[in-house]
Amino acid sequence: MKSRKRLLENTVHGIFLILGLITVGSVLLITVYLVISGIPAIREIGLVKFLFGKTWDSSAAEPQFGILPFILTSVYGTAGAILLGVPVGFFTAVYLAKAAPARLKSVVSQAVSLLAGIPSVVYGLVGMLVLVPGIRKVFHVADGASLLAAILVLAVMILPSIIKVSVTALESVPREYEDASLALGATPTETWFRVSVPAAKSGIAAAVVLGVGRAIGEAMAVMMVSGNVANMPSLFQSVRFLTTAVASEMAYAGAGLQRQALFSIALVLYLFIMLINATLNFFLKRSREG
Amino acid sequence: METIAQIYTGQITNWKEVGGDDAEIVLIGRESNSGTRDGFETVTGTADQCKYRQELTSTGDVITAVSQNPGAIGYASLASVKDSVKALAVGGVTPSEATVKDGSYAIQRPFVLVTKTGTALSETAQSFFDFVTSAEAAGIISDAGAVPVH
Amino acid sequence: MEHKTISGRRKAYGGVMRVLMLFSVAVTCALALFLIGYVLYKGVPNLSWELLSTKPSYLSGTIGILPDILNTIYVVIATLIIVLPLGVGAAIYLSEYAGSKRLVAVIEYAAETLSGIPSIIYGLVGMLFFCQFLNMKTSLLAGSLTLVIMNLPTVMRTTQESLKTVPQSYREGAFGLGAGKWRVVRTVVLPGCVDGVVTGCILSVGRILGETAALLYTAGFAHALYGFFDGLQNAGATLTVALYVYAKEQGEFEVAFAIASILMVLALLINLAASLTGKYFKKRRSL
Repeated sequence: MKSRKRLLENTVHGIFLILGLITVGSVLLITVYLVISGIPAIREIGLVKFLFGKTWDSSAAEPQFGILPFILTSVYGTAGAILLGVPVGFFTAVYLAKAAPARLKSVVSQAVSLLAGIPSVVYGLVGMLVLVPGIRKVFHVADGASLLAAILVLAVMILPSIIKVSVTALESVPREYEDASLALGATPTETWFRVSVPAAKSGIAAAVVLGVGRAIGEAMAVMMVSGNVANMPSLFQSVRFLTTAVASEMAYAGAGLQRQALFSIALVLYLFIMLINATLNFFLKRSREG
Repeated sequence: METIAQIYTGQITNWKEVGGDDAEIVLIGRESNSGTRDGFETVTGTADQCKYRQELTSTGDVITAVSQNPGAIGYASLASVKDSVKALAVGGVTPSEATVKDGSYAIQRPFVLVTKTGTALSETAQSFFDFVTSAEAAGIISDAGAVPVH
Repeated sequence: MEHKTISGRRKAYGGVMRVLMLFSVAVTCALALFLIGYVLYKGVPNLSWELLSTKPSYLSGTIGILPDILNTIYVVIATLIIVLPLGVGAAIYLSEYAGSKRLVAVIEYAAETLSGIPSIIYGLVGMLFFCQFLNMKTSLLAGSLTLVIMNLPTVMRTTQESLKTVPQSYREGAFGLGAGKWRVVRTVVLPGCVDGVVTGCILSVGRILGETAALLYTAGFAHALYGFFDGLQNAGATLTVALYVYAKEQGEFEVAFAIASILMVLALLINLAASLTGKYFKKRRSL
C-alpha cells in the first residue's frame, strides 16, 4: 500500500517537474533555432561587415548585407519613444496613484487599460491614416512615413504599460513613509516626488524596462508608418527597423543567402533584447541592494 | 517610358520638370524581392537603380500610400487600382484590359503557372489549369480586375 | 503654535509638478479618447450583419469576416486548452514541489525571458519549428502552439500569485491528517488557485486577440470556413491578422475599421471581465 502511494507521488512529482521545465526548454529551443538559422549567413557575410556595413541591398546583382542602418534605427526609435513616453507616463502615474480624486482615477484607469488592450495593428492603422499625412502637412516634408511617425506611435503604445506598472509600484509604497514625510512638514507634492517616487524606484525602473522591450520588439505598427527603406536613420526619412527588416522581406525571400540573412537579423535582435534586459536588470538589482 | 525611368532613378525630382506643380516627387515602390517590383524594373530598365522613398510590402499598400500623398507616384497591379488613384498613360496608352491584351500598354508581364517538368499534372491540378485558361474563368478573372488569357 | 508658511520656492516647485502631472494626464486621456473615438467613428458605420456572417468571395463580390471570427475562437480555445495545464502545472511545481532554489530561479528566469521576446521572433521560430520542422504546415494549430509558449509565463505568474495566498496552515492541516502530497495539492491547493487561473485565462485571451506577428507566419491568412478540427489543420486568419491584411495589403479600410471596432469592444469586455473576477475572488477570499 505504502509503496504504491510512493509510486504515485513520485510520478506526479515527475510530471510537474517536466511541466516546470517546459519554460526552460522553450527558451533553449528558441535560442538554438535562432543561432542555427542565423549563424550561416553571418559566417558567409563576415561578422564585421554584417554588423557595421552601412548598405543593405539584398536583391541587387551584387547583394550587400550591412545591417547598421537597422540597428541604429531600432536604437534611435526606441530611445525616442522612451524620451517621449516615460515622462508623460511617469507624471500620469504619479497623478493617478497619489493626487487624483477617486472617480477621476477610475475613469482614467479604465481608459489606460483600454489603451493597453488595443492591438498594435490598430495603432498602425490610425497612424497610417492620420499621423503620416499629418506629419507631411505639419512639417512640410514630401512624405510623412518616417522615423518620427514610428517614434510617436511607439511612444503611445508603451504609455499604458509604463503607467500601469508605475502606478502599482507607487501604490505599494508604505503609507508610513508618506505620513512621516507629511508630519515633518513637507507638502503633499513634495512627499510624492521626494519620498514615494524614490521608494518606488525599482518598480518604475521595471516599467521603463518593459517599455524598452516593447518598443524595440514592435514590428506591425511600425511597419505601417515608417516607409521601410534601408536608410541610415534620420527623423524625417523613411527607415527600416530590425523588426521590420525581418518582416518585410520574409514573405518573398528566396532560399539562399538573403533568407539566411533575415534569420541573422532576427538573431541580432534577440541578442540585443537579451543584452538590454540583462543590463537593466543588473542595474535594478544594484539599486535595490544599495 | 523614358520619363518614368528618369523619375524612378532620381534624375527628375520635381513635378514641375514634367509639367506639374512645384512639388517634390515621392517615389513609392515594392520591397526588394517582389515580383511586381521585378516586373516594373525590368520593363523600365531601372533594375537596382530606383531611389525609393518608401518600400512597401503589398500592392494595396502602394495604392494607399499614393492616394494619400499628392506628390507620390507608384506602381501597382491593374487589378488593384481603385478610384483613389489615377492610372497614368504610358506612351499615350492608358492601361485597361484591352490594351494589356493586345500589348499596346507597355508595362505589363504575364502571370505564369509553374509545373514540374517531366511529370504529368495530377488530375486536380490539370482540371484547375484547364479551368483557369477557359472562357468560363475569363469572366471571373475580369471581374476581379485582372486580364484573362482569352 | 507657530504657523510656518511654505517658501515661495517650494510653492513654485509644487506648482510646476502639478502642471506637469495634469498635462500628462490630459495628454493620455486625449490620446485614449481620440483613438477610441476615431476607430469607432470609422468602424461602426461599416458593421453589418452581412459583414459578420459571410465569408469573402470574389464570386459574390462580398467581404465577410465570419471565417476570421471562427478562426479567432478556434485559436483561443486551442491555446487555452494547452496552456492551462502546462502553466498551472509549472506553477504548482514551483510552489509546491520544487526542491532546489537554483532550479526555481532558473525556471523563473526562463519564464521572464520568454515574456520579453518580441512576437515577431516567436513568429519566426514558430514557423521554423512547428510549420517546417514538425511539418505542421501553415495552420491554426501551429499558431496556437506558438501562442501557448507566449502565454505560458502569464498563466504561470498569475497561478503562482494565487497559490501564494493559500494559507500554509491549510496544507499543514492536510498533511497532519495523513494526506499524501498529491492529495493535498489536488484537494487543498488547486481549488485555492482558481482565481489566479481565471485571471491568467482572461489575460491570455486579451493577448491572443491582439497578436498579429506571431500568427502571420505560423497560421497564415486564409479565409475559408471550417469546423473546429479541420480549421486547426488549415491556415486561417484571426480577426487581428485579417485587420492587418485588409488594411495593408488590400487597402480595404472600411472592413479594417469595422474589425478594429469589434476588437476594441472585445478589449473593453475583457477588461471588465478581469476587474469583475478580481473583485469577486477578493470578496470570496476575505469571507
